[in-house]
Amino acid sequence: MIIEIAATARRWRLGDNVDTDILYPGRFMTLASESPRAALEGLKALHPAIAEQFAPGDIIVAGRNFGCGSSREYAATALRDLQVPIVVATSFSRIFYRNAFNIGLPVLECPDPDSLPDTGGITIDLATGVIKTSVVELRCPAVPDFLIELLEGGGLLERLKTRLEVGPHV
Amino acid sequence: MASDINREIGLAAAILSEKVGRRVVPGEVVECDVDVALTHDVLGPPTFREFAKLGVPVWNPDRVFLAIDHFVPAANTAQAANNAFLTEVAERHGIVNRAFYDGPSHQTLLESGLVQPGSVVVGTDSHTCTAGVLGSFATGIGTTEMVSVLALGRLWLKVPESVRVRLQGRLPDGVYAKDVVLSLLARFGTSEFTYRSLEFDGEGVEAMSLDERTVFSNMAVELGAKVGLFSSPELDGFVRRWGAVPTESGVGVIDQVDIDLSEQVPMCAVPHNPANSKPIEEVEPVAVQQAFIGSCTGGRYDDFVQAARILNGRRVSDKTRLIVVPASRRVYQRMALDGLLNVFVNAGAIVQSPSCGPCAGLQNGVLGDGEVSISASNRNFQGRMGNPAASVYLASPAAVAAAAVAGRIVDPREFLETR
Repeated sequence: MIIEIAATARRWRLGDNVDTDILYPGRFMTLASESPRAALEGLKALHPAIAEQFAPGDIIVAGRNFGCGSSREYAATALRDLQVPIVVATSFSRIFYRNAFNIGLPVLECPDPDSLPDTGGITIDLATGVIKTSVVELRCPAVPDFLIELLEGGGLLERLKTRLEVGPHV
Repeated sequence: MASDINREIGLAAAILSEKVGRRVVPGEVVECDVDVALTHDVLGPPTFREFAKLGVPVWNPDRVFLAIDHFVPAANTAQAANNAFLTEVAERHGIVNRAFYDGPSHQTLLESGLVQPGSVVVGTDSHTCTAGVLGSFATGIGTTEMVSVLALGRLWLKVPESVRVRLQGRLPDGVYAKDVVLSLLARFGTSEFTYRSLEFDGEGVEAMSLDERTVFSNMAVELGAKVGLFSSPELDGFVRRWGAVPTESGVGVIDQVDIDLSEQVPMCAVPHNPANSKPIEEVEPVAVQQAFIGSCTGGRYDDFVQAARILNGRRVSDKTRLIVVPASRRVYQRMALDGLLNVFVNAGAIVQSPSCGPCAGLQNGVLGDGEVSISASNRNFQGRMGNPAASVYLASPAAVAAAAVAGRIVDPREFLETR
C-alpha cells in the first residue's frame, strides 16, 4: 500500500505521549454523534494553530506512545474523518495502533520522524516501511501483510461483513 | 506459591497456550475464543448500533457483561436516552450479566464471578486490564473490534513478551499500592511496557490484599502494558504444563524488575501525565479545590479504610470539596454497614452512589478554569476531568484525604501521627 503526501501538505508535529484526551476530549463524547472537529479542539492544547489551519491531506508526525490512554476509537476515527492520510510516529500505544487498522487509518512506526522534511512530496510504502522524500529516505519497520489487507479492505467491519456473508451493503 | 516457580514461559503465553491447546511464543499471532466481552454506557451504544447493521445474533449473550457506570445517574436527556438504549439492548439480546448503576465495570466484573483464572477478557475500555488481578488475560479493545467479537466470539491477539515485577518486603505505613505504581511510572514512563505483559509476584504480593493487588493490574495500561497479571494455583499449573514444552525460539520472561516495597514513599503525579510522578514531599504544596476518592483505581473498600484513617475526627477544608464515590454497590453497602461511610459524611465529603464519578470528566465533578484537583484515579491528562484549563494531580486515597483536610497537597504521613 503506497501513500502519497502532497508537497503542500502540512506536517503537524506533536511530540511524545499524545493522549486520547488530546485526540478526542471526553467532553465531546456526547453520545448522539461524534465530530471530527472535536479532535482539532483537543489538539489545540498542543498546537494552537491547528484548529484554524488544518487541511485535509495534512499528516501527523509524532514521537513515542502516540494515542496512549483510553480505548476510545474516536481518537482514530476522527483523524481518519479529517482525512489525515497517515500518522507517522516513533511508537504507538497498543490499543490506538489496533484501532487505527481496524477503522482504516494508516499509521507507521518510524524511528526518526523528526527527519521528515517540512515541505515537499512524500511517498510511503507500508509494505516495505520505506519513506521517500526528495531529501531523505527513511527505513521503518514494514507493516505486516494482514494489517495492510485490513486497510485495503476498508477496515475490520467490512471484512466482518464479508466473513458473515451478509454482503457489503447491509 | 507463584514466586517459587522458575518460569520458562510468561504467564501471558501460558494462558494463551492453554487457551489454544498448544505452546505459543511471544510475537506469534493467535486467534482465540473470548470468555468475557465487557462494554459500558460510553462505548456500548456505538458498538451495538454498528453491531445491529450486521443482522446477526450475539454469539453468546451469557459471555457479555454490560455496565452503566459513567453517566450515573443521567444528567441530561441525551445521557438518559443513551442509558435507555443500552438497557433495551440488554433486553433484546437477553444479556443478563448487567451492572447497571452499580459502579465502575472493572470492579463490578471482578465481583461478578464471570472471570476465572485463564479467561480471555476483552472490553471497550482501556482499564479492562483490571481483571488481570484474577489471572485472566484481560485487555482493552476498540468498538469496531468489539462488534467483531460480539458476532464471532473470537479475536486475534499477539502473544506478548512478559516482564516479571518482583515485589519484595513490606510497604511502610502511609504508603500503598498506588504509590508503587506511580513510582514505576516515574521510573519507566508510559510506554516502556507497550505490547508487553506485566506479571507481578514476590513475597510482597502474598502480604497484599486483593484490593491492593488490583491497583497494579488496573494501572498496567498506564505503564503501556497489554495485560497486568497475578498468578494463582491454576495459572501455576498452566506454566508447568506449557513451560515444559520446548520451542525453537524458547523465549520466556524477557526482563525482571525488582522492587523493594520497604523503600517506597508516598508519590504524586503532577500535571499532565501519570509519569510525571515524584515523592509527594517534593511536590509544591498547591491549593486544591477538589479532591476525589473513587474510580476503578481508588474506590475499593481498602482505599476508603486508608482515607478514613486520616479523615476520622477531622473536617475537609472549607476551600476544598471532597468527592467520595465507592467503586461498587458491594463496597458501598459494606461501608454503610460498618460505619465507614459516616466518617466521610461527618468530615464534610460529598458522598455519591457507585459510579465512575468525575474521573473521566463526564459527570459529577467537572473542574472549573484554573482549578486544581487531587485524585485517587488513574489519569491526569490535560482535560481529563472535563476542562483543559484545569490541573489534575494523582495520588493514593490517603494522600487525597490528607489534601482534602489541609486544602493543599501534603504528605499523608503527617496525618498518621497519634493525636
